[in-house]
Amino acid sequence: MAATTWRRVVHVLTNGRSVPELMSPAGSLEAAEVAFDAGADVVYAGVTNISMRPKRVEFGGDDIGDLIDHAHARGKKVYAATNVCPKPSDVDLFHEKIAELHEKRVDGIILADISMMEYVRDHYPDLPVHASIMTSVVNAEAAEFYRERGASVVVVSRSLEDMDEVRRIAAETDIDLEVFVHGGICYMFDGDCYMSSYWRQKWDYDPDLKRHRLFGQNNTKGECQLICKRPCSLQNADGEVADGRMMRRPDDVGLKRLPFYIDIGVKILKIEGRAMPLRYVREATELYRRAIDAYIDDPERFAVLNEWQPVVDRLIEDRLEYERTWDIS
Amino acid sequence: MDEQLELNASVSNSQTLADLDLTDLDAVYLGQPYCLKYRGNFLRDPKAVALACERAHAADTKAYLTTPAIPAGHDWPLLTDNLRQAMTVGIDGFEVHDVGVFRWIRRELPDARVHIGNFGNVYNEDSAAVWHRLGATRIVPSHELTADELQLVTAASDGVEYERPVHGPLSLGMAFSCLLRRTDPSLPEQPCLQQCAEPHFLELDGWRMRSVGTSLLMGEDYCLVEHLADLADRGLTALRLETYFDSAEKINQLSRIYRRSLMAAKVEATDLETLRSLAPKGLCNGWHFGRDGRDYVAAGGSCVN
Repeated sequence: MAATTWRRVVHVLTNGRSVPELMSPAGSLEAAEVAFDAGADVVYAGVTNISMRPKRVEFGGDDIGDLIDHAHARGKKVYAATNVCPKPSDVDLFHEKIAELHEKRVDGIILADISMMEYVRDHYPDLPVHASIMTSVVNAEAAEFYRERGASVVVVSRSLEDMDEVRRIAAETDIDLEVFVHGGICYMFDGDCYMSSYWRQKWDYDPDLKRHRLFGQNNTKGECQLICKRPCSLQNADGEVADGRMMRRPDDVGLKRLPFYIDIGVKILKIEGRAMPLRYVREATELYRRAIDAYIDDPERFAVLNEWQPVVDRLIEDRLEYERTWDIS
Repeated sequence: MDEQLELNASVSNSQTLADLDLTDLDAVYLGQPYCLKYRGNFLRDPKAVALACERAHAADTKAYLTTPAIPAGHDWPLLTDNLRQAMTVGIDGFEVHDVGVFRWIRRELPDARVHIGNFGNVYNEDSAAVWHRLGATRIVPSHELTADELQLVTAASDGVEYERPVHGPLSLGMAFSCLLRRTDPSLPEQPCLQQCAEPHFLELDGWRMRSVGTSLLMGEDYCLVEHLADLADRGLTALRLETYFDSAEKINQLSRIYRRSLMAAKVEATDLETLRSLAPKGLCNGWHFGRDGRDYVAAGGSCVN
């Protein structure tokens, strides 16, 4: 293992376990407030035009600064999601946004593009970089690669279902890890999905950018068309083999995995869902806050309680409703 | 035009290579990056890679070895053993999609030439420059880039090669598990029944993608044969036939047509018809022109969906 300039920053309890941060989604200032009230340590928020979610749940203008000020006043943190891969025409915009975020004292910046990681490393060395879920880290060498690009946190691929692999990454790297614990989950490995633009994209005017651009790409604009949530028919030369929502995966519910993550020293536990309603943000955050605290307080007696199941069921139903009424704008 | 551009093709296994006519190919990419279980995949067979290198070099054709798109830790011993052995038999380069594999190769096999594949997600000139500085010798810029965007990337850094696919169904992503296996949970875990060898299509509201289990491909064959003259001015070094799941016979037909078209800087109508006949679900190239990926833009600019 190469020497590193980053050291893991963890809060260690008397029982030896580190306390991970619970990170909730903030698609608006109101959602951030709800998340903090419900027990989130951190919220992540998208910056207009450069995060992986629709504009309606991104922060533009002075909004991100207001969010950061508000969070800091409460002793909380904000990580800015700037995790699309910029096209040539977007590189300057990225640099401007990064400068703004640094000036506004954001607590971390979530990136997928390696040149942007190095840009932050070289120009704003005090701004922590998190290698986004879009980098689909599935091995320790990849985690180390991003550490060398300036990242202090990597998000382990949420499609890496083998917990031994996650343990291996934690053991073999000297970088903090973030994992997803709850939310929707893609059919494809994140960052490796090009279905949306294959199906549909178009040139149109973007009033925020004040120029025309291509609308409909996932990796470069976060404009996912939820192709993998749709019903489809699998056919071969003999006809239909299967049908239904074959690409749709059940929501990720990570309550049972919490002890594992905490024991291996994961730094950030993430709830997915910036475009989800406020009730979802509140209930999901409260649920995972309760579960994390229960394990930290008494790991030997920790169990996923039956009384949590109705909450999980509501969160799953919220997700289905979100997919039924999907709005990309 | 022909002198300046490398024409290469993807060959998944030695069975296909055995019947391949290498006359019209400057290089072959050995192996299939989507699934290590694919029948005869070069990525599981170092001896086959050695024989393939020997065969390719005898035909004055370069041999590159691709690598898994999603290499989890348990794949590492097989992967690294194959890479080391490939170096000893004179492999001409490795195609890498995963940054961890890139890091390992640069550390352990520093003399190797490394190509950054499509899953490297190179969308801008700054990223290309970083890869170049880190030691990449060739970059496949994102397939989603338009021709003009591609040119902005290739124009920005000298000394690194750029490659673009010109034919074949391109990958639309890497799935978390094999969809074909999941359609029948009763299927045994080992050995794989190789359902992906038979074409399977996912149909959604009148459009389709081909499922090869762990990846989804375009339903149509991506095709830029009508735009080769334009491509010559885009700063490219190599053109790729994406033919992982094709027979040697089809690859032979494709390579002959593309070689002929490159030399003439245009495609004959009969060759275009042949390409259409080889693509049962049609042709597409919309990404190259900033249109739906399923669209096909012909030489005159007319678009067919």
